[in-house]
Amino acid sequence: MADVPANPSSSSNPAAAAPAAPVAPPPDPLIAALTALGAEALPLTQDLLPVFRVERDAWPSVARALRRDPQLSFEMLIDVAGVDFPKRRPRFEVVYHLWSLTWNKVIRVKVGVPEEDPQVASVIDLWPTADWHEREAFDMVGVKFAGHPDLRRILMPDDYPWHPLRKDFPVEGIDNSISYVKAGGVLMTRELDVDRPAGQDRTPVDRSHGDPAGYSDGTPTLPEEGRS
Amino acid sequence: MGVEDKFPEVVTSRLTDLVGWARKNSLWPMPLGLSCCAIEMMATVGPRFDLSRFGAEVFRFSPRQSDVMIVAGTLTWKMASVARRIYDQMPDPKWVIAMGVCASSGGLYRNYAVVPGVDRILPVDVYTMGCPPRPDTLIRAVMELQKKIDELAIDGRRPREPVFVQ
Repeated sequence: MADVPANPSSSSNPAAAAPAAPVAPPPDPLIAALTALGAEALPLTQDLLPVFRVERDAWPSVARALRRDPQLSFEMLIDVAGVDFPKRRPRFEVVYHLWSLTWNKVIRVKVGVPEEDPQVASVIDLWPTADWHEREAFDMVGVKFAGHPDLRRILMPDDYPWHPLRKDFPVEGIDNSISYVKAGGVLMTRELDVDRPAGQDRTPVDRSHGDPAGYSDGTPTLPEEGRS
Repeated sequence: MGVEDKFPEVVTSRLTDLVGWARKNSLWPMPLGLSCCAIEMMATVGPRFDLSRFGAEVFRFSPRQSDVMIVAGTLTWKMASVARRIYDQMPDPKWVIAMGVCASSGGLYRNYAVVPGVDRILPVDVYTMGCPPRPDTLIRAVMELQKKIDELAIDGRRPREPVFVQ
């Protein structure tokens, strides 16, 4: 040890030179503050973001505290996502990612939304960026955001009747040309289609590989004959 | 003086051939750039590949001034009525090049949002393979279209068979 020049920083702090023992992280004041608000801290996932589950009725007050409380001050809403878990109750989840620029913290908040009343409070008054995020979650998953001033579809045509990122929606679509035809568009018969009856030009999708992710319980709720 | 001295004073031709010759050498494309194919379409007009060597360099961003629509990219059903309206606004005679597999058949997208081939809504004259096609392929598509225009009758009736460029 004596003939090795010591690192100045480690020599001033002998404890740092000792082999690192597994130490439990200090109690996070953020988690304590959020738990006091009524949020449930979930176990850490691989990305090490603190995750909280908030009841739907408590979400407006929790969101206001997250934004306005100077001890929390999550100034930035990074993302709002609607997620569909067909086997879970409540079926839908709205996931918020929040970033506190003051404390340099990122958290994830999940709010469960039941299928019978797919509605959650809008946070557009706290984070104006929620406008388009909430419109997208509404368009794709069908969760309504109460208090949103302009909850229109953002990606699909305005008169599109389904919410295509729900897990029971077939990925190849149902009546895909519906908005085009409603707007007065005419579908053409392809040159390659002339010797085949209409609608017979597509090979069926092979679904024999099953459902490894376990998203579907195998009972499609949409009629098979309506698919295109 | 010039090369015209070598020509006779009078050249006889059929009107059909003359009009077809004029049309095919002054194609004005309407670029409907919808996704990454549009980048290759821009490269095609640039100095390295130089589509103007084949008389089709005047890209017009107004359908009223164009006669060939290059559908370059993925057409979604939401965009379909817009594409059809642009096509309807082009003056006759007009042609359509489906550039790349997305425009030709929907490509790798087989889902609720994407039109499985722009021939569902437009009469396509030339299909082009590639994802995206190289500029050479687009030049080849333009040349195949020029061959087709050569065969065009004077009354505007087009040969119905589409051309597949590989």
